[in-house]
Amino acid sequence: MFNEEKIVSIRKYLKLYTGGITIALAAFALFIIALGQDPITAYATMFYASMGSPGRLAGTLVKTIPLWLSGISVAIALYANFWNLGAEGQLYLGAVAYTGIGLFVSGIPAPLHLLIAFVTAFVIGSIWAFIPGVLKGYLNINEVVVTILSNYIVFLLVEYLVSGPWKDPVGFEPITYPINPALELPAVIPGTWLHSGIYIAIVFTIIAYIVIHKTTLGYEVRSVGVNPKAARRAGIKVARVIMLTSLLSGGIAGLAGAAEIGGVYHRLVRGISPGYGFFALIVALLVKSHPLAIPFAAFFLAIIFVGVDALQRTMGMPVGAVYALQAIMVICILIPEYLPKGRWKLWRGRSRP
Amino acid sequence: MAWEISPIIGVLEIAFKLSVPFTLLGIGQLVAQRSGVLDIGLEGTMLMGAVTGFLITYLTGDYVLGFLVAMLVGVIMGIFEAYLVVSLKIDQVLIGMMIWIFGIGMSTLIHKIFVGVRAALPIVTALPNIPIPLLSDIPIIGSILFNQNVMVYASYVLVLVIHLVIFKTTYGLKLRAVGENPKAADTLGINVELVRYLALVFSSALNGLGGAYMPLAETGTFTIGITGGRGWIALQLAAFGRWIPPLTFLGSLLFAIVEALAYRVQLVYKAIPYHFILMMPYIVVIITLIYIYKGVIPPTALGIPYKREEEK
Repeated sequence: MFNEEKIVSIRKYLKLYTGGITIALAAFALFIIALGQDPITAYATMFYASMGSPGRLAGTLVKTIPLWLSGISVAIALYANFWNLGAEGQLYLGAVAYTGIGLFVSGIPAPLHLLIAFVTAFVIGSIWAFIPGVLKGYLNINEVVVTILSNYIVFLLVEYLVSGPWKDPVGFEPITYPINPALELPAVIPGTWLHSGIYIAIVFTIIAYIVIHKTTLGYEVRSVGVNPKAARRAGIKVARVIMLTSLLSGGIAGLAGAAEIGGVYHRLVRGISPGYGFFALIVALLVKSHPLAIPFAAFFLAIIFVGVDALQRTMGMPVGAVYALQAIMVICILIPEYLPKGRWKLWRGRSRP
Repeated sequence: MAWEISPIIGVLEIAFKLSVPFTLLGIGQLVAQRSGVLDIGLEGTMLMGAVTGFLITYLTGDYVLGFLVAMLVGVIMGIFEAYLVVSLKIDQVLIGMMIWIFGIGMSTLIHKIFVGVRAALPIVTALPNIPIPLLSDIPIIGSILFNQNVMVYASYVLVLVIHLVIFKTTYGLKLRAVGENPKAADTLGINVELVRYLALVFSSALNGLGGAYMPLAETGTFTIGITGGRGWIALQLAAFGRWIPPLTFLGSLLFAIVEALAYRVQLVYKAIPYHFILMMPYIVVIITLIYIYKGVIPPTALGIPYKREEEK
């Protein structure tokens, strides 16, 4: 699935991209018309809501951060052909860990506190991803189902914590106590929501890029992804590479969750992620996992998130439209990428040798 | 110390009732995988089937129509999925995720449009049990197997019919041939793509049907995310049953028993937070995966289907 063709075909890539996006936008416009609304107004709303003012732009960037980080997480795993569909759960677990440190640890200097919180989030997230990683590495168990099911387990855990032992008795909703103020991430631009989680994203993007493309380990990861049998024959310890990749992937996803708590919510609530971990797969696939391109794909998806959210509020577009839209867009964008080269026939019938 | 039989029977009765979605999905999956493709749009198709089936039944009062529409929805999605998987050969996991996301979004959307801001949740009466005369009077087994709703009986029939079709008919032979060695099948004149299309559409239809079963026969209403991952669980059912219908049925029973036990334990041991009990089915599934994969490596002839999409 994952070919190593370099950026040689960037022009062709952009052509496919714009073609796909155009189709997707057209499809969405039809969708809006079907719902009885005016697509021009809709698109205008989406544009202004996501980028109409510095404050709004900051808001879009805030949504970009978790998509970005979990995008890196999934991308790293994809390089080894490990489909980490548990990023959402790892994200939440990281959030749980961060909140835990925020609730139960105190009395240490703030920088150390922050460090411990993030490290714990990373570790917990990576352990959770390690389980499917080991199962794949040693037992060759396909990671798709394991990772997907692992999400449900985490959701239940969060539900438990948020309505049970960590529940804040003030108010009716299931939310936890607020975390230690030391763990609240400062704003990058004071007065906006844009929090320093973005620094974490930048740092790990660079780390990911360097590791994947400039180190031996990265080479091994990519080799395993392209052809595990050949990699094994070349002496690469495939099982170890897969497990290590899953660890890294889970850890970064955990950081995404931690950043959401530290930068946005300051406590654990049920809905810190509207599926960032799942859309991270789209982010990664849009740019074929290339770390340096991920932020852009993440930003693009964030625009859609914010835009559709605005549509919900101003035009009464129902919840769930964002998911349907995302699915349509992805298919429209990714189909051109995956069409077999040359002729494409709908119905091949008998094959030609 | 007397062993209480009745709770066990109670659990089994519920388990059989809950097994239907797993059976339907598992058998569908089995057919698809036998032809060499994974039907990975399970969860999304289930959700679409659930919401449409429920709404149709709620609006018309006709259960049959509800199930039929759900199946139709499954067929439509199956055709779409087959196009993406068989003709375009896009990576299947990606397609599965897309269909899932689409299914979540679309089903939520449809649900919101129809339910809107009504104060009361729309509810339909769950399918009633219809005891089969004579058979249901057999002690123990009778009440478990033969005092169920009509879809449960349909699932028995489905398992038998599909088993016969796969192993005793020409079509079944073609199906298996395509899954084992598509190149050879092709040279024999079998239209590989058509077989796979049909298999996927059939599987999708069953997915839609299975999805509709949940609101119509289990809970009585549609809730967002009602499927709870069952689709993904069912993905493994065919492998669990080594692609043999009756064994797959046993697998679906197993998962249904776990689910039924979870509910039971919840009721009895109220001290344990229910969240942890609800985690059990997922954990059990992950553990059974170890069993499944242990047998499949080294690849038997049945292990081949998974690589099929690269061949054709």
